[in-house]
Amino acid sequence: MDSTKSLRVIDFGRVSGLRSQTLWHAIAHGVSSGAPPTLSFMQPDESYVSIGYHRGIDELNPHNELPVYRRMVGGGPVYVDDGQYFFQIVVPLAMAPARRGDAIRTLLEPAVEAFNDVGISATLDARNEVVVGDRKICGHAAGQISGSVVVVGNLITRFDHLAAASIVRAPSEVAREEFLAQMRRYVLATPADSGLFLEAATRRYGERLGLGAEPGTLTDEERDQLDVFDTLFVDPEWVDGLSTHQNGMWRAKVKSGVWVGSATCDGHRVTASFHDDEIKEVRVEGPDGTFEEMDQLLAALAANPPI
Amino acid sequence: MAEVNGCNIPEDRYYWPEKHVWVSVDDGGVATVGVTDVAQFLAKKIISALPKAAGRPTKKGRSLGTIESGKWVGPVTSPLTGEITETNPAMASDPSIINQDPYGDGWFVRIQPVDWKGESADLVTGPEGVQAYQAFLDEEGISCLD
Repeated sequence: MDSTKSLRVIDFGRVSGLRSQTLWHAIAHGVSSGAPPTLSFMQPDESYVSIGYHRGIDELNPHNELPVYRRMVGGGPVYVDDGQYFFQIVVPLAMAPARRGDAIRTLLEPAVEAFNDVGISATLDARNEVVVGDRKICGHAAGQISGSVVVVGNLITRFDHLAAASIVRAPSEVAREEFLAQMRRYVLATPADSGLFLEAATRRYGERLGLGAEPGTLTDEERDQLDVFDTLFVDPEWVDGLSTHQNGMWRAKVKSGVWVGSATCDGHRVTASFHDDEIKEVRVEGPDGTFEEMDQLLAALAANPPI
Repeated sequence: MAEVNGCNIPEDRYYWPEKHVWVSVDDGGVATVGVTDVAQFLAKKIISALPKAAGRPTKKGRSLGTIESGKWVGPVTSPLTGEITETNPAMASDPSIINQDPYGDGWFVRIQPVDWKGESADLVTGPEGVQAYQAFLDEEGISCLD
């Protein structure tokens, strides 16, 4: 396979939760070492939690019993199950625009075209969120791993909002209910045939990158690297990562620009949902009577959106 | 402070233009390393910064840690071989300090280099360094004015 003219396409089919993370990390190292740009697909055969490289394990529900895997790209903690069909596009650093936002956009646009090809009227909004109307239909994350750029995303054929809302640590049931309500409002499953999506995405990425798509497999080097990641990703020290700095506030993102925040003051807990800079819903827990600090608490929450 | 394509590139720093990192060295030979104004511009708002721990060895070309902006995680490449002696504590609580002051309060790590004289020869500095950085930005079509 000519690494300068080919788009290697690897369909891994159904894989374990662990492998649904480690396979594309191994590919990123392979592409950094000269393997062709690669588009891969896979479907995890089990539920798990994926947490962004910079995020704290203490953001997760302490009662969570699902496996947790820390990825090397950005974004927050997300719930993953077999209702999500994943694609990963991995290209050498030199093939991606230097501006991070532009790189993500450039490498998501073919996926958006593929969504449309299979009957989903998706668009890429100004925040690089893949949406139908104002509802998010694709979770994505991105980053530079070694000398390659990786953008991962998914076709959500079925979404368990309750499970997804349950994996995050919430300061109260009211806060969790609000998070769940916002997830139901703004995160949409788009049932489509994953095989057709694979075909469409392969065609669209090939066209966009100017490369001929060819089926491929992992290189020997990538298989070796896969062993390394299979070990690393279950290492408790790797999974635990960092602790976060929450400033006494709880924040949970639903999609770009939509989030739920909660904080306490004077025996009251205020939970609010935000859409861009607007407060959409406020719920107060605590003793009856006047709560004069609520405006300040809401202002503080509004000034501290989640990352 | 020299301005190149709208990006600030001070002449008194050493640069590795392709990696968008800068270095300055104090009288005691300790190197302070950070990302350039170009890097913070390309990243946009930095929401998290995670340097490797003080006491860790580092090699030129290896990652000194990572920064995250808008779901993107990328490395900060070490321009020197040596030991990380200090990380910037201010980044933990306010990583956007890198956006606000990349050459000052937004420094990333300090390194005790093992071969400053040898490895600094591969970096660019002064008016020639700024020119070299500009040439790289022009080649890549990068401007902080867009």
